Amino acid sequence: MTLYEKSVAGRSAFSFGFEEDHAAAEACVPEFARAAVKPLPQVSELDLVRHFTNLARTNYGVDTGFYPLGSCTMKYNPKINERMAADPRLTVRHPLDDAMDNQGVLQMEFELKESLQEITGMDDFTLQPACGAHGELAGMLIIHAYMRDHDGKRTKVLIPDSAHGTNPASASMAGFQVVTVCSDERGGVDMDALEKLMDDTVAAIMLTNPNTVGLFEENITQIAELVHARGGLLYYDGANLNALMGLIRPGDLGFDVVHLNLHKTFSTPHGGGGPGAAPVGVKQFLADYLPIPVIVCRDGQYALDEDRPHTIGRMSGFYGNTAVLARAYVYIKMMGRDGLLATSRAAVINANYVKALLSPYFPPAYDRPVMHETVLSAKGYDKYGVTLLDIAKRLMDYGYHPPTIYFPHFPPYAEEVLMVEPTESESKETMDSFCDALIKISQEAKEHPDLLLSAPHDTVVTRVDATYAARHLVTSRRDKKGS
Amino acid sequence: MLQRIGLQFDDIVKCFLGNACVEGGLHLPEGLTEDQMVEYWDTMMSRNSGPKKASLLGAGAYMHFIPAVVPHLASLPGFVTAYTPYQPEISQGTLQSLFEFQSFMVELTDMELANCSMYDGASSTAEAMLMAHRVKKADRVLVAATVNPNYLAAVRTYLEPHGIAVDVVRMDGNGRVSVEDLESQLSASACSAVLVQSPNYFGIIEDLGAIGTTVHGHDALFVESFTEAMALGLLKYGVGTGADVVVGEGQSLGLSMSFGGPHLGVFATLKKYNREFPGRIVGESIDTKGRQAFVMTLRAREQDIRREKATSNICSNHALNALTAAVYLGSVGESGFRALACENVAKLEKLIRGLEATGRFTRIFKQSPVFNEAVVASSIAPEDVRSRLAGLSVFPPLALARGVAPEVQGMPHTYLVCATEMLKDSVLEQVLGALS
Repeated sequence: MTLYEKSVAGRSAFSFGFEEDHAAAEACVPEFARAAVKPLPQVSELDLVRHFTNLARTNYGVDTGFYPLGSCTMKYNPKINERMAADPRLTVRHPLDDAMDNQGVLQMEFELKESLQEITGMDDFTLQPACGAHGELAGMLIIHAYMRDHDGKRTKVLIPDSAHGTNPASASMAGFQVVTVCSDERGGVDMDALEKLMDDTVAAIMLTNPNTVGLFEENITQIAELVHARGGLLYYDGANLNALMGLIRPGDLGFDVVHLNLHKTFSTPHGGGGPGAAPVGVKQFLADYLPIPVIVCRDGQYALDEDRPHTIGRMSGFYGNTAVLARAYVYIKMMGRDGLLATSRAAVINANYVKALLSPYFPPAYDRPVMHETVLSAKGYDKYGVTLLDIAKRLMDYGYHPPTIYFPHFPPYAEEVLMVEPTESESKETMDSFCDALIKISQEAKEHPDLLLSAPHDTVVTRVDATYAARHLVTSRRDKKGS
Repeated sequence: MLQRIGLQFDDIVKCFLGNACVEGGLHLPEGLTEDQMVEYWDTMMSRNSGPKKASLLGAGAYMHFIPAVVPHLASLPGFVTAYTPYQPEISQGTLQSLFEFQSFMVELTDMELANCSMYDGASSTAEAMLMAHRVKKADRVLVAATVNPNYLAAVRTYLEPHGIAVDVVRMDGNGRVSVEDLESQLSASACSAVLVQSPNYFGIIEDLGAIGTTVHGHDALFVESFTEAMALGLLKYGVGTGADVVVGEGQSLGLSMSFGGPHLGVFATLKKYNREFPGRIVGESIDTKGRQAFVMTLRAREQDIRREKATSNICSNHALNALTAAVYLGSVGESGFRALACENVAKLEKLIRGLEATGRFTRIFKQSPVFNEAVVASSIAPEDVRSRLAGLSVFPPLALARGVAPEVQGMPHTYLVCATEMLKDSVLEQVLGALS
């Protein structure tokens, strides 16, 4: 039942001491005003509280239980981050207010930028982009502008078939033609294919490292040499940096542009799909192209610099998702040098542990150690009449969020793959229980496949019909009224 | 655990990284404990100016009253610690809340379909222009000169690599977009979209209906944009004014300014573009027992399925902020939202009257109706305004650069001033006293 069905005329949860004459205000703009009655629900504060509290209870979150959603890094996010981000000294700051009145916020942002430079080995950063894909777009626009100024015929971007969908979509939005590079039998970029494709029309290659199957790109040094030797640039998608902090730096590997998903590696709860933040780092020769404004420190004073003639422009209305940046800042500050290294170490050990436990039942496509996540195959269960989807849904009955399923799509992976990312936060006991459940489900598949086919059983709704939703398109209350 | 894996950590790392590890570790300080962190943070944040009760500064971010129930409900861990609702059976809370948000946006923008958020008003507006280009294919768009300059800049950033020309339609003498110039530019050559903002950068309410009629005399999409969502409580948008897309900034709907973000991009359009719009959308469906259930729908437009052919690269959006806006609108309700909008209009009117009474300010574009911002000329210089207001717990107004607004004899400085329901009479009195 939505809030509209709970609405009773005349009820209100709002208590505000208005001081002005509203009839006069309405009379100010009669020809532009809409009809008097707003179609919003009318509920009491208690109705409102119960409505959303009960909705929140139907959601599964990291605070509820294990959430091994591969490639999304559903780690635990310390509550101190939330407290700092909700500080009125940060939340009640206007983004266009004078820099001299905002030295505290700007100091936080500047120190965050410096930390990210150190962690990644890049020379400069923008903190502006709002989310991973927005960061990718900013990074690719920087490469586009650089190539326009230096080598205009470079209109293509190479992207491995293992990449997230955002990579090709971002390159395309930045005006590039996307060319797919296939993977080799070890799960990395196929060097022969790259050798053939890397010509003087290619602006850059976008790489995620470790890649989406949790494997480190073994030939990264050779890839960097080849791409650079032929005039291209290297873009680093930092979605999986969680595995590498303190171990290796993309800047040292030869990457020219990187974006980081702060909400993943640097700890902001994912909020049912965002918001996040995705700073973009560049090597010095690209720094002039960063979006404006750029945060600077001159004579000990912080400021936002807009006077950058070569800039790609603005990615958004203001400088960035400051409240998310604050969480990342607090996280880095509290983890410190050793904590970040320990995080990556634990993320890698945990992924390999889960892989070791599950391999006999769900074999990995590449039998070698992984970094932060592992991709396992659920092939062969079709002979019991069940699919990977059924296995995933059954996991809910055991109290777990399923891993990412049916991704990645590229060969030699069949469709039936699950991608497990335990993250560093989880204890051995939690991972043991999760693996026990998955192993038990693999038994159930053989003995009681109906249990899987009808799963989940213990959730507020059973399986939801996505086809029905697409056929009877109802995306707002107005559609319902019309039907 | 390592025993079970059968390898030491260093062996795992070596087989990937060789000996390339960061030498001597990262040059970062040791970690702080929680109490140390709080102390460090306090010292840093005390470098900001003091707390604020109201803001004369708007221009795209607005200080409004946020009822206590809004952050309370938006902070529930069930909402906060979940991710994208890929598994609807355990994500109904997120999905239904977003469906309710979409419903509110459809009603307030008077459109047929709203997605469940973009990043912010500027990026959402830029995406609308890209969508119009996908639909109409003409490599040219028109943007009103009265659009917030940061929105125009974002539109340019997004359109530049596609070789789409961004031509500006000039302002008339009343601070509104010139319908005459719009007509002549539309007649000059084909164009995919016309972007107009209302209230515009100067706080002025544009005549969207008249503009819509002009746009639809040609083969272009009409994109209506707003920076101040509070205006949705009073003003007409959407199909009634000929809009094909309504986009804007939803920060005013229960979200704090937070020095620029995260805010909330609103994107609403017509059903005929349901294969073309960017971003995620939630639809109503049924479960296997026929019960009402919600699920993400129209997914075939999205990057994880379509890759380079997707309608946008957007993946993570600002879902939690959309949910916050839904809670806010549920909280203020039908009557509260309109009353708030009216209070904003009235507070600005009172502020302008007060400023003009000092003899040191005069409103520019007097003939045009405004919402909660307006341009004033003044004899007082920006540094002086700042220092006069320094002790008063209000954000000082935005000083406009020379040439942005017409000059007034003897009053060489121009400001964009804003008033919201936060500008209580007691504070206003102090402001006017300081500026007299």
